[in-house]
Amino acid sequence: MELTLKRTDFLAGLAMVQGIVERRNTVPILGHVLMHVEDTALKLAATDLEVGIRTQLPCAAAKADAQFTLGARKLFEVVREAEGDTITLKTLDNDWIELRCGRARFKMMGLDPRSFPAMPERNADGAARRTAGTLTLDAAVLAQMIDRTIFAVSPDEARYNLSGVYLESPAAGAARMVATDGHRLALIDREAAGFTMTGGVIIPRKGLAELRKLLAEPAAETTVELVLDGQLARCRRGPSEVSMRLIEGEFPDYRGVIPKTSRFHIALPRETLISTIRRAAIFSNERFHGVKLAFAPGTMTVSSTSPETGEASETVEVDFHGDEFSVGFNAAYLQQVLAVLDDGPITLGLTDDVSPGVITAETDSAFQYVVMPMRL
Amino acid sequence: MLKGGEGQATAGWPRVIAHADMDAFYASVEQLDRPELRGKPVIVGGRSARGVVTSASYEARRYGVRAAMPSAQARQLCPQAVFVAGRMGRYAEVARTLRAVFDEFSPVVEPLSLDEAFLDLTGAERLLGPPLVIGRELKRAVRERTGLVVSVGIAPVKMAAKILSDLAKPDGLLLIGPEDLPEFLAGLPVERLWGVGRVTLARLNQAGIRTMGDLAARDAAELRSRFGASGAYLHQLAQGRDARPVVGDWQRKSYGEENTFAHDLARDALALRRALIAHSEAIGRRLRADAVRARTITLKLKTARGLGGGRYPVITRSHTLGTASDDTAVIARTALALLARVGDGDKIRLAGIHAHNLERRDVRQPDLFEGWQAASKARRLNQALDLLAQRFGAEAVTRGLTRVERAAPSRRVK
Repeated sequence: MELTLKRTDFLAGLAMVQGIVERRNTVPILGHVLMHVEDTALKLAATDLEVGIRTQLPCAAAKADAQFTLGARKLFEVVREAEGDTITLKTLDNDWIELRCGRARFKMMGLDPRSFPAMPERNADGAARRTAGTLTLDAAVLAQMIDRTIFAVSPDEARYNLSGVYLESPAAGAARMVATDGHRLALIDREAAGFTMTGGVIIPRKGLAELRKLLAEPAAETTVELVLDGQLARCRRGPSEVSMRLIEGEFPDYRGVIPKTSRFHIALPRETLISTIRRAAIFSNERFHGVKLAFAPGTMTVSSTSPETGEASETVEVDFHGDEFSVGFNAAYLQQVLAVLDDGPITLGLTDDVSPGVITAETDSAFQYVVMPMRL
Repeated sequence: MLKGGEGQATAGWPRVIAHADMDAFYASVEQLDRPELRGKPVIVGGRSARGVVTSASYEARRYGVRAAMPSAQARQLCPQAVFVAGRMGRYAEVARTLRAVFDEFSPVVEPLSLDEAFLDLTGAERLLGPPLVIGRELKRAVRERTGLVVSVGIAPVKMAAKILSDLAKPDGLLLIGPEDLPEFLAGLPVERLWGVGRVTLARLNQAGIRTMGDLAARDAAELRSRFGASGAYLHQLAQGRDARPVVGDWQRKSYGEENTFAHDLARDALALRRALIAHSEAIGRRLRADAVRARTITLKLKTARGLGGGRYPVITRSHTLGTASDDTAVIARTALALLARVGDGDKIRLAGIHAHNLERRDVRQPDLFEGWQAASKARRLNQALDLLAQRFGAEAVTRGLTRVERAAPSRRVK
């Protein structure tokens, strides 16, 4: 079998699956991309067993319907470095593949395509399929929901029920995403016509990040469908599809940790807050990134001190009336949320130095961010 | 053999390690608190049929009484000895003071038990002076703050520091530098080495090895083929090579508590469950004090039918929690569930719990959910009980079912 591809098409397809292939070489086949020639299309598939990506690109084949695998990273390097507009692949004996491009010729060893694992596209036999639904949204809206929550997902694999974004339908025709690492929590609501679902699902961070990449791909249609089906979720856009296994676990009762009211509401422009915290955080402790927000009538002073390196402080005028108090936060927790919001007034809802603070933005009234103070 | 003194005393030392070990700790605390016992043979330990000596004062040791000896035998050797039941709460209180003293001398302190610890003094010379000066200062500080006597060994490797503190007893301080270490070790009997128990000793003797010098002179390959990997390791130790660093207790790998029962217990005995709850409390308390949490809980049981040679079959069962915990109730529930999984069989002689797979608790960044949810109830209860134990001793308030037989106090093994 021999097939010819446009190099840029091939490169784009391989770039898409790079994020998913296993970096560690524990199971060699998981580092490979499965290729399937069917009629005039080359179909690519990669999976780490939890998340899978399929895509396809046009090709001219001498003999259709062949399957083979190649190491995804090396193949990507080869195609990226190659010269010329087209690449020719030829299957040799014993899973070897020859690639020709410009003046260069490469020979790569594949693995038996029959040993390629199943994509996360099938529910386990007998699995409860109580959570099912289809979330249809404008791709840009879904992308924003992801951007405004995914940063708060716990990186701690041990807290598996927090290692993804929780998706539910708080009311018919509405979608809500919530993410927390136990120290801060981000919540966003959006209208989603026709979306109803009993209970919620936890979408793993890696799968959601791949979905986010997919949403950034150019496509003819503006809306996408995120299909939730038992233990699985999938989303198709253009010629590509991301599928993933949902996290099985109970998402904590997030409603209980969102303060109903705050004693003080301090509003200030996003840009001011970002630049002030960025400067003040220069001397915050490397491990805890603590900054202190001290309030006095009419002012807020943001400061950090490190016994070894120095200190910083900056005072800005704010509309604050009340007794002086101060509260410490992890600067990164503030910076990360400010980074994903649009320019405009930000409100800090604070009560004292131990109660959770609430950050809201005038530019997105359906977004809330709760952050636990730290002891400085 | 003693060196030290002035100037760059530790030039050429890869590390400076001190081992501090209290002299007859429990017995000394009793003599400290009860002046009428001073100068008399005092034995702390159980008086029951299977009770053992936990600690013997130097007056009692003169009669041949040793720790871990059956109480009955101790009584025969020294009939006039005063037997005292242990007061673990009080010992723990003294141990806390002791620990505070150790912490002032080194940022890296590795406790081996309540009353002994390794201190990494590497680099301390600049701040505190030459090792011998630090050693004297340490002894003085311990005496001043606790009223008790500590013996200290200082060496470039752990193994030698521990041997030295033992040789220094009572009330001594010994130091050996790297250049004198091989010669010093060569003269010591091989059973002084860590890891040489009765069985290994017999086999070493059979091979004509009686001193560490004998061992060090042997061919490493021969030892390996004869004793396996441990042979090569013992060979290294005998040459004074011991790469093990002092591990501060926040870097420790596990916490363990176990006890041998006065009478063998059936697997469904209430006393067995009580012991496990007491162990859970002890481990939980230590985890909380060190601001760490454990993800894996292991139940360890020794069954009563011996294998001969003082060995007993050991059963272990482990469970890994979804999230790491320092909650006594969680540890106890897990241990009891593991006990239920063990099933029927021989009676139980020893029961223990080990907590490992440790994670450091972030003390500065409180958790959103803990402050608000059920977990906080458990946390507040633990805090209150820890406070009471700190003030009035570990047995002042105990959870339901936790009164363990006094003859067999929960013993820290890790």
